[in-house]
Amino acid sequence: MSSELAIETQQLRKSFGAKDAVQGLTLAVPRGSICGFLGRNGAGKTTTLKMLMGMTKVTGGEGRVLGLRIADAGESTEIRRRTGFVGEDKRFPWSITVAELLRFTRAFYPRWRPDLAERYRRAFQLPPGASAGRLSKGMRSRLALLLALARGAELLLLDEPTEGLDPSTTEETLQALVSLVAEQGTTVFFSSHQLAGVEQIADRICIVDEGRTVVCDALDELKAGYRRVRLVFDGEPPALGFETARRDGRTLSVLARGNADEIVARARAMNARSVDVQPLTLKEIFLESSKGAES
Amino acid sequence: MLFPPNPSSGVPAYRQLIDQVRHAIETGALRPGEQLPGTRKVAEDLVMNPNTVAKAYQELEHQGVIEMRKGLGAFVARAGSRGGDLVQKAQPVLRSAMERMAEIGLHEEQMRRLFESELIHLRSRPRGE
Amino acid sequence: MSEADKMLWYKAWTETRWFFWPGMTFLAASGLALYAGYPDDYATRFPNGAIAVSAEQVRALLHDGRAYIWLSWFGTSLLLGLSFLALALASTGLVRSPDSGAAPGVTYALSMPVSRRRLAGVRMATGLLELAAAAIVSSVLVCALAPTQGQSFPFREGAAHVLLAVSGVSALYGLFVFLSATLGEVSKAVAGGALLFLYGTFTFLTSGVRRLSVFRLMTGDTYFLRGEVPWLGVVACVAVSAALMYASLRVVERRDF
Repeated sequence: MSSELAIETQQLRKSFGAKDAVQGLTLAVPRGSICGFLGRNGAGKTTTLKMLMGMTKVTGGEGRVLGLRIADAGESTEIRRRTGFVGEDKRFPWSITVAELLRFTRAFYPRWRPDLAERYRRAFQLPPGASAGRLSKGMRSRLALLLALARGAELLLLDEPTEGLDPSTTEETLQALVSLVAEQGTTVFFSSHQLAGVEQIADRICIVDEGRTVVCDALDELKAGYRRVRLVFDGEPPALGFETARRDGRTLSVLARGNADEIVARARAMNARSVDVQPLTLKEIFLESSKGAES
Repeated sequence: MLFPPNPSSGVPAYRQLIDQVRHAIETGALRPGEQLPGTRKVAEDLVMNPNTVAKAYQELEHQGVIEMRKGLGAFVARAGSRGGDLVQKAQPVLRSAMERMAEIGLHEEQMRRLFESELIHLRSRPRGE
Repeated sequence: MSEADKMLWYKAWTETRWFFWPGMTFLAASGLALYAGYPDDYATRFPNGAIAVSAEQVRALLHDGRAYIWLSWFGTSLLLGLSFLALALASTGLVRSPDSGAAPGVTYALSMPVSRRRLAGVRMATGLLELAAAAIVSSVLVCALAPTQGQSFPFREGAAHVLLAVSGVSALYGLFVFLSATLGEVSKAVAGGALLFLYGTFTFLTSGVRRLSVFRLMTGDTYFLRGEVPWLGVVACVAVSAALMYASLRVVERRDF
């Protein structure tokens, strides 16, 4: 296992009694990349993030974050010293102010960046005197992100960082992440349902479905591999022998995974009237990949 | 002068950025010898991945379109109008093809879609199978 | 102490002060109330005895004027007040409910580079220190005010009683912490409350239970009557408390959040 990778897992498993939340997750996330972690609800994203942070025990397989083993208590503490985390639960019930919370957090991170803390506190419009327990949902998200960003972390693990945020705050968040990666070479691994944002800043995508890795690849490679080929025939479209083909009147729509040329060639041989090749958006690729039991 | 890439176009983001820079040079928005914004600034302004920007700049440097000067940044190469020559050569080829398509009876939207799909076809070829 | 450790104690304080201040105030007020309604014939106040003191023992103390202070304060008010304060304060700080996992804000604590042992340990210790502080301050008040009713309860004696009370309640505290770690806060409160009620009732009613009861240790009857400190009881309670708190640490360390 190399230290070129910020996150590396081999067949990671997590069972809660009889239920398998994560069944065989193999991931590789290079340092300095921004990796979007996609999956339907219940696919195992949050459980995976918690395992990486040492909050949930690993049932099987191995994982390393920044070269350190996630299953070892001591190394896990070191992982947390170098990693910023924003979980699903973004609440702070302690009745302390934003400024006190910053002071509190600072004590635990030797690489704390007071300049970043102040910059983002202002950018996210978090008043220092506000009570952390009584913030609105949007402000809580921003506060959680602020605490993660100011840590001087090598890696950020974020569970839905822009959930519930309005578009301009979402954009600010994405910009903050991009800025951090550009400045510090920080690696960002984040799960999100907002695919537009993921597509905008990620250079790597991991898709998980029913606890298993479906995809873990560079975004460009992933998108290059998928095409939708639309063919129109004069009469009933012939069976071309591709299982991802769908018929609609005289139109045949085929999902190509690396074999677009083959499909086009065969269609032309069958005298297709019109051949149209289009790329897929990340959303379409995601929907295709995470069909789970329905496929 | 640079704008965020379009994720639906089917063209990888770094490639779109390369095209944007070349277009900027051809239209005169960027002149030979002028400095380009740094990769970090581009990434932050466009809110896109810094590695993607870096990849685009690397490719542009490889193609001789820009040069990276140590400690100073990226500058448009002085042997600059190479891109412009190519465009000048290609224009009549495309013009006559489009005139013929118009004669057959295709309208603008059909031509555009056909062009896109042929472009994708062209790009996926060199990778080889 | 490192900056990080200071912050852990501070965090525990911000979480517990909401119970500590009311508890402390209540105990102090009880102490004052003791002297406000001071009876002429104190034996009428305890016709059936106190929680851990039988009616016969009370009658045997008719000659001793200080017995009322002892029975009211160390035998009743402090005993009950501390026990319920222990129930309120006992927590590892990490478990809200057993299945859904973390209390709000706990995810944040768990994402810090601090072992669960340290997080929970500091929180448990804070609750215990606060119990001791509440016991000491309110008892000092009670001893200081004794002369207003023409009695004297020396601080030295009060200190011995406080030692016994705190040792005894630490065993209860340990138990409640364990309940909190395994069942979560709500169940701890319900189960703990029920337990206190039943245990107190049995101690009151049954002399067999009374002899071995933690409440008896907290009352300190052997010390008041004969000047003997039940060291065995003290050690046993402290040991039980430590064992239960250690077990709670292990529970919390093993848990999935």
